[in-house]
Amino acid sequence: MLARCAHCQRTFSTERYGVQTCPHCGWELLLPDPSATTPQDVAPQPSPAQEGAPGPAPTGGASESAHPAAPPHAAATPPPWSSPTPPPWTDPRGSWPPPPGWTPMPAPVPPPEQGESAPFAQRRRLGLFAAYSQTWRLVAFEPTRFFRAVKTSESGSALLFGIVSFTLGTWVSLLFGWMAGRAGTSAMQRLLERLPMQNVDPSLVAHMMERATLGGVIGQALITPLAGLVAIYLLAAVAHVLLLAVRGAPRGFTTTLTAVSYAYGLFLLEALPMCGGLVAVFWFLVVAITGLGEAQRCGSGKAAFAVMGPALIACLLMCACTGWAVFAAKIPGAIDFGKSGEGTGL
Amino acid sequence: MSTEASPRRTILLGPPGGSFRTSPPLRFGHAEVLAGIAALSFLVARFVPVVGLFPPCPFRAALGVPCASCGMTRAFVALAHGDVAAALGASPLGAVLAALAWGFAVAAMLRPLLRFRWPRPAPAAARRAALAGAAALLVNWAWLVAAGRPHP
Repeated sequence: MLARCAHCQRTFSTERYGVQTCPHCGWELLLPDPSATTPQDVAPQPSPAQEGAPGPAPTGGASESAHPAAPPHAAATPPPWSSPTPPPWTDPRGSWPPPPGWTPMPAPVPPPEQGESAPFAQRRRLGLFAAYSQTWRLVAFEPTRFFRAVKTSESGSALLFGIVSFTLGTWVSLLFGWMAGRAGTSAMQRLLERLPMQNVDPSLVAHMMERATLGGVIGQALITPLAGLVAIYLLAAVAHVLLLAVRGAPRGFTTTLTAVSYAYGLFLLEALPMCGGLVAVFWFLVVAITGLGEAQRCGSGKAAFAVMGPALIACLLMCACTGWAVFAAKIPGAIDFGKSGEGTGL
Repeated sequence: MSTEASPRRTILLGPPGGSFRTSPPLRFGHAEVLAGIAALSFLVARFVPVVGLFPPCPFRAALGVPCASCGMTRAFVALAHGDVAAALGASPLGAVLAALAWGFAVAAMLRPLLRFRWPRPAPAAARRAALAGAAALLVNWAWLVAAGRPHP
C-alpha cells in the first residue's frame, strides 16, 4: 500500500501497519490498522451511500494518501449512488433506487457529492466552443436533467461560464445600444420636450445620452466581467440566505453558487436586439428556480422563494400600497375615519 | 541515534477528516471572493460619486414610499466617509451591513497572518441568522417608511 509521510510529504510503499520509519526523512510514523478497533470505529457507521461518497476535502496534505488501501470489507460493497459507469448526461435517476440487497437509505440524508462534470468543466478535452455550446444547450433546454446530474463542486467552471456568457451578451448589447442609441436618444429627447409632462427627470435622458457615447460604452464593457462576478456572487448569497431560512440548502453555498452561475449563462441572450434582455431575465428566473431546486434537492417551491422571494414580496407590497392609495383616493376620509368619525361609516 | 533514545516523534496518519490536524489551509475560496466584493464596495463608496450616479428609486417614484433597500447607497457612502450619524440616518441596516462587510474584508486580509479558520455555523444557527437578517430588513423598512427616510 502507498503511504505519504506527513513530514516530508513524500510517498513510500509499505506492507504493514503500525509504527514505522519514513524511508525518505527518517521520521517515525504511525499507520493505523483499519481493522483495529478505534474510537472512530465505535461511532455509528455511515449508510452505504455515505460510506462510498467522496469524503470532505482533505484539510492537510498528510492525510490524503496516507490513508491505507481500501479495507477488505469495502471491496465487497458495491460502489453506492452510481451505476457502474453512467454515460455522460444520461438520466441520473436511473441509478436510483439502488439494486436489491442494499439497505434502504434514510430519506433526510442529502445525497453525497457525485455527478458528472459539466461539458464546460471538460473544456480542455472537448474544446472551448463545443464545451460552451453544449453546456449552454443543457442549461437552457434541459435544466432539470442538467442540474440534477451536474457535479456541483466545480463552481469555478460554473462561475467562468456565467461570467463569459454575461460578458458576451452585454458586449453585444452595448454595441447595439451604441449604434442605435445616438439617434434614439435625440429622438427621445425631442419627444420628451413635446410631452406635457413637467416632471420628467432630466437625469434619465442624461443617463441614456451617456450610455450612447463611446467612452461610456467602453467603460461599461471594461467593468462588465467584474460586474458579472459581483452580480453572480451577490445573487447566490441572497438566494442561499433565503434557502437557509426555509431549510432548503442542505448541500452548501458552493451548490447554490454553481446553480446560479450556470443559470446566469442565459444572459447571453442579452445579445439579441430589442427583447433580448427581457427574455434573458425571465428565462434566467425559470432556469435558476429549476436549477436550485434540483441542485440543492430542495424542490421548486423553496427554490422559487429563494429566487423570486424579494421581488415577489416587493411586488405584493407595491400592490398593497397601490390598492391602499386607490382606496384612499376614491373614498375620502378612508384614511382618517378612525380619527374624525367621518369615514365610510364602516 | 536510535529510535528508542530519541523522543518519540509519532505522526498519526488517518483517513481524511480524521484526527490529524494541521494549520488551516490558506486558499482563495468563496469567502475571500465575497471579502473582495466587500472591499470593492468600500472603494466605490469612498471614491466614486455613486449617490448621483443612479436614477432615483422607481418604487419610491411610483408610490412615494421608500423601498426596503432605499438609503443603502447613502449609508455606505456616509460610512465610508466616516459620517456614522448620516449613515444611520439614511438606513440603519445599511450602516450595519456596511460595517459588517468591511469588517469581514479586514478579517479576510488578516487571515493569512493570524491563520484562523472561518467559523462554520451549524445549519440551525445559519437558519436563525438568515431569519434574523430577514426580520432586520423588514424592521428597517418599517422604520424608513415611518420616519420618511431617506430624504429624497
